[in-house]
Amino acid sequence: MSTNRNNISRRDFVKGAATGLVAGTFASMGMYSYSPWAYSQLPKTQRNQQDFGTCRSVRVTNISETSWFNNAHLIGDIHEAGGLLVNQYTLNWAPLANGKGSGKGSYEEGISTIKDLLPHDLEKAWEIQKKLSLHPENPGGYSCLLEVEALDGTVRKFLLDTGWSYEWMDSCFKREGIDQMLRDQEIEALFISHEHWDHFWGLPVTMKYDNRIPLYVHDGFYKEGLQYIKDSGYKGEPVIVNKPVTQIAPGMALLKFDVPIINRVFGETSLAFNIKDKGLVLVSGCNHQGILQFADFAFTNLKYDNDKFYGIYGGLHISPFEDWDPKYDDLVIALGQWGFELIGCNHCTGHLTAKKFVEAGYPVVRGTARFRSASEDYLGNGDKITFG
Amino acid sequence: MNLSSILPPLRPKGQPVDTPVLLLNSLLAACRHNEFKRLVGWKGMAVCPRGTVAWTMKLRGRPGVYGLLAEATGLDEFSRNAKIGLYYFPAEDEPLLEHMSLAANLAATQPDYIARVRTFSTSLEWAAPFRIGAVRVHLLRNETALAIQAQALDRKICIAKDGVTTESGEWVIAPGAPEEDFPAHDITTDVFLVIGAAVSNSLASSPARYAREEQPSMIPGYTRNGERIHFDKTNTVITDTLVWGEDDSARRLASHLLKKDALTPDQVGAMPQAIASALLWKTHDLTTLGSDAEYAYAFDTRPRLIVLSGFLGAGKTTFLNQLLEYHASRDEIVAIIQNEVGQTGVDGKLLEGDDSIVEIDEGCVCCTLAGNLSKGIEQLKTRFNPRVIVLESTGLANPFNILKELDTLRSLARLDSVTTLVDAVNAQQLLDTSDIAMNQVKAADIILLNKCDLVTDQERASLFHRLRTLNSRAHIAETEYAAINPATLYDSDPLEHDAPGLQSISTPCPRHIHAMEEFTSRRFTFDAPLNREALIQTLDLLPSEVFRLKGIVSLIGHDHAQVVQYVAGRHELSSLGKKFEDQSFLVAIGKNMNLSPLAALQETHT
Repeated sequence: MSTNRNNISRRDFVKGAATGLVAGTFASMGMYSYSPWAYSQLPKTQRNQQDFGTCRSVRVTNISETSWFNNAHLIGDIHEAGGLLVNQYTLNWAPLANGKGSGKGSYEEGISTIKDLLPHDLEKAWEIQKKLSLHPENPGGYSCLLEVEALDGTVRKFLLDTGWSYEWMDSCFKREGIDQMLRDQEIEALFISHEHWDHFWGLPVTMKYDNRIPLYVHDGFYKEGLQYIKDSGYKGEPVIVNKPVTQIAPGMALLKFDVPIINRVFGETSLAFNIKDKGLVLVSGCNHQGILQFADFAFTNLKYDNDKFYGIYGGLHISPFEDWDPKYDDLVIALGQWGFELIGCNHCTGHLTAKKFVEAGYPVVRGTARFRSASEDYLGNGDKITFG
Repeated sequence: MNLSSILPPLRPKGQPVDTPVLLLNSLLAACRHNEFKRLVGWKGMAVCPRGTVAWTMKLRGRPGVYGLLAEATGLDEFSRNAKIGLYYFPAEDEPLLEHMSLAANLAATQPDYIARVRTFSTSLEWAAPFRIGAVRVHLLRNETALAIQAQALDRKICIAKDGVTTESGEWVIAPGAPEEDFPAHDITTDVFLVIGAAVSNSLASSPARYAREEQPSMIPGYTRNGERIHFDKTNTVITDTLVWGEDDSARRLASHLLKKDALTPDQVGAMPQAIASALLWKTHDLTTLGSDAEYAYAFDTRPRLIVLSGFLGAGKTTFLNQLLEYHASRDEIVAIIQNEVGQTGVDGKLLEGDDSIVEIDEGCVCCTLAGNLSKGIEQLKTRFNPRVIVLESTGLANPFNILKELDTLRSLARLDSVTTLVDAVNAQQLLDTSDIAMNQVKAADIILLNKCDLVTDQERASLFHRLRTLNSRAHIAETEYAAINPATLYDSDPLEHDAPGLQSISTPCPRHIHAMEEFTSRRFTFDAPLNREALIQTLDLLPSEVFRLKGIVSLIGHDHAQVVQYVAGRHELSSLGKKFEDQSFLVAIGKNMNLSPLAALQETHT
């Protein structure tokens, strides 16, 4: 039967048929491929939307989005050490350097040079590390303050990430008054989005002001990372996030993504907010899971007002995969599909990408390019964005 | 078997696992290695938006696109498992389509075919005719063994008992002939081998067991009335099983899944050839694989060298900025070696850096070409380990001159291509008058026909034809604002370049050098901010001999410095986005230029 050949090309036939015939006609011809039989066992896409409550608004203050100041130095250091798969604790960057050079660092040796100074004398610790590390002027950090307004008007404060350089982060905390908020224990929790140097290694700066703050980390943290939490002077017990969705407050949830990340880091946690009468707001550190997966997961697993994606803030990595059909503006297209009403992007998004969003007419909240943020297309250091 | 690169490393065993995501992570972890991607012929992947976990991917060996979709997950006493539907969407012109169903053909001939393929998980009824089999994942409950199975019919066949005719009564499908009949198992095997290689790599161990099982299956058919019928001829369902893990665990998992004993890796003779010779037995240890001469091509760590040529003002700087961002977002560095005519490295400034070696914000290293090219490249490699080196030849240079020198650089860099940007607005005139422009087109492997928005369709078509006549082998892409994703031009897979351009060009005798074409350049500087109107008036006064003018100036009443671009009578001012700390300047390039208007402007602003 498989030898049946005839002169009429199927492609030509359906091209003609597409104008003359409709699918229903095919079905009446008894075509398997138009028979309901063919599809009877298909799975149905199901959304299992978890209700995590509602809040009135969330305001994000960008404490710092400039994770480092010279990309060539950063990438150069990584490649010199052996590339994107090398363990970050061996890179010999401050504050965990041992002075032995590229790729020869070790967590134990690095921390031993400053451990007794953490977290009370960060100036001295950083000075010591400046002498031991590669490109000591390069570190900055990523961190933001989240002020979540409940339906009754009360405001709860949270920190996402704690940056990298002790020097830089301490000055950023002071600039935004985070130091005092921490001292007054006004900030309810610190979430570490992932274990990377620029989001996590500045932990002692938070510890200096509040060493008992509830601390949430992904269960993909490695043993060095968990040890660093102790060595930074943390007096509490970190919450190891091991569920896909963890509700933090009404209308606020922590989402966990299990994804391998460069330089031996595993997993990212991001935040989702349900703003009353507006919709869903997504806040991320780096979005290593990719914004598509982030949005997708929220779409499938969360219940939110108006079934509408309302806002997004943070670093917007497009996808951990190279596309088989890359487009000039694929991130623009991908983001556009979700119809966000407010976009605040920075950090790892890319200046040209941010500019493309602006040019595409997306509702990008532009910044002021102060405090070493490089572009007004970024929601820069010291800038704020309010959702709701 | 080490699960730490696909599951949280310190997570206690026994916690729930998203099994489809486990497979996705395995691919993701393996694709971190460029060597892996080259070895298996990886061509990229895209996750489908909305709903169920699903993704599409492409491999070198097949022109179409694979789709994988999580259909079910389960948990029993023995294992956590998932069933993942496997789809194959042929390329629109793939002959395979003639052997696929009419529904598949109808779908593939629609203009939105590729767009729907990318989102196939949201319209499963539409995608159903492309389903070719299933992949199953089983993780032993104690997480000491993992199995991947691929299941597909040897041939996917369905009979149209009453046939299909055209309106004029000719048979498209004769009665009793198959509506579809294609080698589903072969297509499945191609992707199964890649998945297997990825699992080996991400678990850092090779499979411990393999088995193939075959089961007879009826060939289905349908009558005109939609009645299902069966034929006595039988088909075969083939299931391939690979198991990773410690020997005992792997054996236990295999015996749970299979009716017969699985083969151990040393029983190569009993395996089908495609399995026995597959890379999946080796990809757990890329270092060892790299020392095998057969696979040396995949372990080429030299940076790619792109020679970027094109006349001044054709859009090289715009294009370069995209290349920079593309690689920066992948944590890679692009080094740019500039060799611009004119006293100031204008493009360097626009790319936020200039002179010798300057590092800039977005992951680029720029340097101006001084002296020995190979020494310069060696220094760049030592200091920055760039993924790509762009040799940006001056708009006035003959790329054939550079190609001769490039031959000496092979040990340092992989010569990728000559990319030439062509300005659609003035290309015809340039090609009439400049041999260098002509050679830039002739030498190109990739031609970007830029500024297509500024010409009519007819002009564009006639220019395209002229470029094609001058250079029959180059890939020509039409762009506006040089907007193109570099990934569509440069493939990381060296095998993909069937015409490795640089080597295949026979270098003609260079008949011209810059001076012979009488191009000169002159630089003007301004101490005081310029009046915008005065500047524009001056630009309008420039004679047609001024071919190109670029620079950065401060304007009265503007906080930010302005970038001035002028090509053949058209000018454009755009914000630099910040103050310019250096002295304002303009560089004019052309033939026999009368530059008195600019001289006058300089005079009044010093």
